[in-house]
Amino acid sequence: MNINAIIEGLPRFIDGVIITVTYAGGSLLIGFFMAIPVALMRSSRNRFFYWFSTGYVTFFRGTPLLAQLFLVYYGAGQFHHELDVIGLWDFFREPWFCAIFTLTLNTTAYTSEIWRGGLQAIPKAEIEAARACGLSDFQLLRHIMFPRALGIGWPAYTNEVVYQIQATSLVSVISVMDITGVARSIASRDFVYYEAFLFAAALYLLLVYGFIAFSRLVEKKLHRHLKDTTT
Amino acid sequence: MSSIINDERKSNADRQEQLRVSGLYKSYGDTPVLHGVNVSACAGDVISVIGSSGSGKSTFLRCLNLIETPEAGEIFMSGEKLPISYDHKRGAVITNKNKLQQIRSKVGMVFQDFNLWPHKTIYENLVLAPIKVKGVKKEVAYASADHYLNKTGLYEKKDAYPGQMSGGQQQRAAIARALCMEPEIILFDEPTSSLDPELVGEVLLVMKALADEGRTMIVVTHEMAFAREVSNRVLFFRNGVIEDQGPPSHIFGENASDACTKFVNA
Ligand SMILES: Nc1ncnc2c1ncn2[C@@H]1O[C@H](COP(=O)(O)OP(=O)(O)O)[C@@H](O)[C@H]1O
Ligand SMILES: [Mg+2]
Repeated sequence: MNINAIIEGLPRFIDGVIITVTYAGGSLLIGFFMAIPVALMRSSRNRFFYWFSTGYVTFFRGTPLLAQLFLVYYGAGQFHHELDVIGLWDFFREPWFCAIFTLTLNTTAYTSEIWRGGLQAIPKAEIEAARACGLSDFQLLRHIMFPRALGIGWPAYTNEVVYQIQATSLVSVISVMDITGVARSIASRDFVYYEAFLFAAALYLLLVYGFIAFSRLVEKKLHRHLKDTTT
Repeated sequence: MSSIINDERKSNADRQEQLRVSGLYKSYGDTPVLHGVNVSACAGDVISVIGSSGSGKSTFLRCLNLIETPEAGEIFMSGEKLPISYDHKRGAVITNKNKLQQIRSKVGMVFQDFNLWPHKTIYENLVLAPIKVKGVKKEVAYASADHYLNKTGLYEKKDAYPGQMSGGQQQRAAIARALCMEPEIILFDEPTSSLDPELVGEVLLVMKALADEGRTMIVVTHEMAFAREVSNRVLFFRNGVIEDQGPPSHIFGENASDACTKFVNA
């Protein structure tokens, strides 16, 4: 065991953790909200909305994230001129942008299915009661359907967050210095593969179980109405 | 006591018309469910709707606030025509959503299975629509919720979730939720049919108190005692039409239609 190499590399690992948390957290945060319109389009009777959202979800759930990342990062290079014209090349030339862009589109696809499942699981009668009170479509979604769907979908969403934290490790292949990127760099420079990746694994475990602990608290709050306290 | 009120109701002929339904039709696929229902109700009427299962009672009630869309027919609530039109190509179309929401806010509805929102406390169930739909101030909405919770005997349950209460309590809360909107008319769809027998009484008591206050109510029910003693008019549904109607003395008397007599004596 070469502990010194890890101790020396600690500041870089901390930067890696920040990158991992930022990329996973940023893509999850944007994806959480972007998934809502996608889920609504998936349940829409409008054929354009339905096919557009279904095509999107099918592609991003049906192909490997790594392939998607290459498609965006290397594929964008082929459209260098076109992207330049519309002012987007400065973004698509950057690995950080391509990484967050792809991660976001990917988690949005998965999260939209969680939202859709949650919305569909709400008993029709509860929705009817809200309509009977005169709530508008938006108020119905905002006050009844979204909170209900969130409660129903939270356990599934917790899994999505866990997968996403781990999936961010793929961005290291387009030279982003996340936890895995730092581990690779330290490992190959000092020839300490075993130590570096074991430490990286420990960091992922910490992040994942940190989130799971937090998720339990959220779940308690979301499911407080299921507590059977006969007061 | 209720008979005195019934008499008062009958004598008061020039009361304001609260509801008028004409030519209501509805079918599900090939199955006709309502075939031309015509009804009117005045302020203060308590109308019981009876009839065997599948005769179209719920469908009728649900058409009154367009939770179900009829295929033909006009409905007036408090003098306002419900914004629905019938188009050969597109079928029934809601022509003005805002108007519909505004009319719905004046029509309370109580369901067989309560349909409280399980993720909200009783308090939250009661104040949501007054605040969001009617734009009532928060303090006013909570004060009104307190009032109706006291009235339905549920004040100490205000912070409970629906799942933590008995069926009778949930149904009383659902009635309180409807009352918090200060509705001009309240529709009840078999409000006691999902309850254990020992819990039916507490809900009927609340409903009787509402009738005694002079509220306008349309109640689909299998409780013949309620139809006979609390309502001032009874509609007997059979195969999607009102086969017979009149004051309880008629429906439960000798001149009612054969099917009606058979039904109420079953
Ligand atoms: N959503 C629906 N789809 C198909 N058929 C329905 C639906 N709702 C009610 N029906 C049918 O319409 C008829 C009348 O139903 P309903 O109005 O619920 O009767 P009631 O309340 O008098 O028991 C029944 O035969 C029922 O099976
Ligand atoms: Mg029914």
